[in-house]
Amino acid sequence: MSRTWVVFIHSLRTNVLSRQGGIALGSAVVGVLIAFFGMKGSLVDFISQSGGEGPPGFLENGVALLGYMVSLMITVFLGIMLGVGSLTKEKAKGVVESLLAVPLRPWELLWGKTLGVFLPAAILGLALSWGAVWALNVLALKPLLGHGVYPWAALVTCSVGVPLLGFGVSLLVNLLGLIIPNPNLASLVLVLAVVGITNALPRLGMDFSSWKFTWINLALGAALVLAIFPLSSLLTKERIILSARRE
Amino acid sequence: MTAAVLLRDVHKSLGGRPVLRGVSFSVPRGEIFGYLGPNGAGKTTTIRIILGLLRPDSGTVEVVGREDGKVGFVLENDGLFDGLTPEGNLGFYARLYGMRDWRRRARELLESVGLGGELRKRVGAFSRGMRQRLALARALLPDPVLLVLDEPTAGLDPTGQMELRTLIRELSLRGYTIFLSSHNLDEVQRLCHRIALIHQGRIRLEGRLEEIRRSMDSGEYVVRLPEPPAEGVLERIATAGFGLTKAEGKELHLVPKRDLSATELVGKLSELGITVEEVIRRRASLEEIYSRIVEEGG
Repeated sequence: MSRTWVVFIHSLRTNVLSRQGGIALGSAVVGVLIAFFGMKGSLVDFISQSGGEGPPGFLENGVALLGYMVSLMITVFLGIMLGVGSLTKEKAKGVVESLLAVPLRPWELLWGKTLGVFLPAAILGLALSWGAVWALNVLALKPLLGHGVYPWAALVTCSVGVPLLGFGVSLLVNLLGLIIPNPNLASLVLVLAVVGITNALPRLGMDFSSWKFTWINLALGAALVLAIFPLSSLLTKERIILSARRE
Repeated sequence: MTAAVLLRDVHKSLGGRPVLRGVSFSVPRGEIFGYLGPNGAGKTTTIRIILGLLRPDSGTVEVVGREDGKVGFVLENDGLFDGLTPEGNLGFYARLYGMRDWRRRARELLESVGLGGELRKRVGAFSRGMRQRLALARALLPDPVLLVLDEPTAGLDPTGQMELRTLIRELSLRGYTIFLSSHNLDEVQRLCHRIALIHQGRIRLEGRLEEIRRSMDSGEYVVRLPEPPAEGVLERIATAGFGLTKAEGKELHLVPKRDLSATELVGKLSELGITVEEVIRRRASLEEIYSRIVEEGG
């Protein structure tokens, strides 16, 4: 059994069973429900008033926005909330120092920890974004329009683009968490930057339901994941140990 | 490599401040090596270098078994997972060490450190002493050739300290090489075969405790008289060339000008008309040696 796998399984179990994990999941589900009912209300109003005839792509864009927001909220936010908190605590308690003395390599620790927070968040994000789109169709669009609205480009974004983005953000946040004394602010800045960029794109004339938006998300995610390789030279045992704030 | 740990002229600066300045020592196999020093002397940095957590700026470091994961350790922060049971903690580390059938070994180790009855409790509910014993069990998991213990009894109550010392002594009898960092002089005196004293990043002393005490010997004798010295006796002693460091009741502390054996000293005092009941060569205690070195400073 590889050591990355051991850290991954442990991290996964800890995150899923922890109180912090429960709180993060609870807040994410509340956010998803608010987004779902908000979007359902807007689309039902729009269909009732316009009979479904309106600006081209309006309905597709609404459904795509819901799927995208749900996916982003769960995959990126939940991943971050779970990851940084536990890593900072483990560094302060000397757990990370003990792991490195085993001796676990820093990159084994980084990948194990990242996968432990990213995978549950990504699976949940995927299920909830598809679920939200399906529920919106079944509960609102199909009864009113007689057919469903499935923006396939957006569903590909939710299934591949956002997870890739979330994985890149998780890797970077965990890397920062390992090598700097207080990673919370840096993580917040990183998350806000990702959310800012992805939300600014539609304002620049790019629809959530367009393939262009899908490609940009994929490219941004891939850039974040690739950024890890040059940055990984910063990940040394010495930097990790000396950046820990002892309890 | 005959020594379990060998450091030669190791230098290390952290944040531009020199922490280790040419540290050299060797830890023979099968012995308990005490690493003494005040807070901030460089003990933890040395331990981190031994465990491969920090790299020296210069110098040579050789540690037996480090590349094969055969170095067990108990660090200042125990690094245990509060949410897991003792067995869960050992299981996690055992998997990291690549051990397949770890359960039996984990149970044996937990029994041997007196935690056999605490298998279902979460470590978060453990006392400091129980945590240290569990950390020691974890250190023994990979069947190490070297154990590095950083202040293992710090923060323990006297009973906990005694229990842990007994465990360390038993491990030594089983042939483990133990590197024990401490600033508890009594503990070091009780447990260690050899010591090194680090102060301000430099090794001030290294060797067997008896050798060190002999080398730091001031030549002082404690002389017991049958009765308190009569008037004029102390003056006679001083004029005869003895340094009188202390006179209390029937006990005198004398330092002859040149090195004398106890018999020669008794003879000299007898020539001065002083009857002696008992003469003891006084060796410096580790505490005295330690405070002499620390007070001398830089």
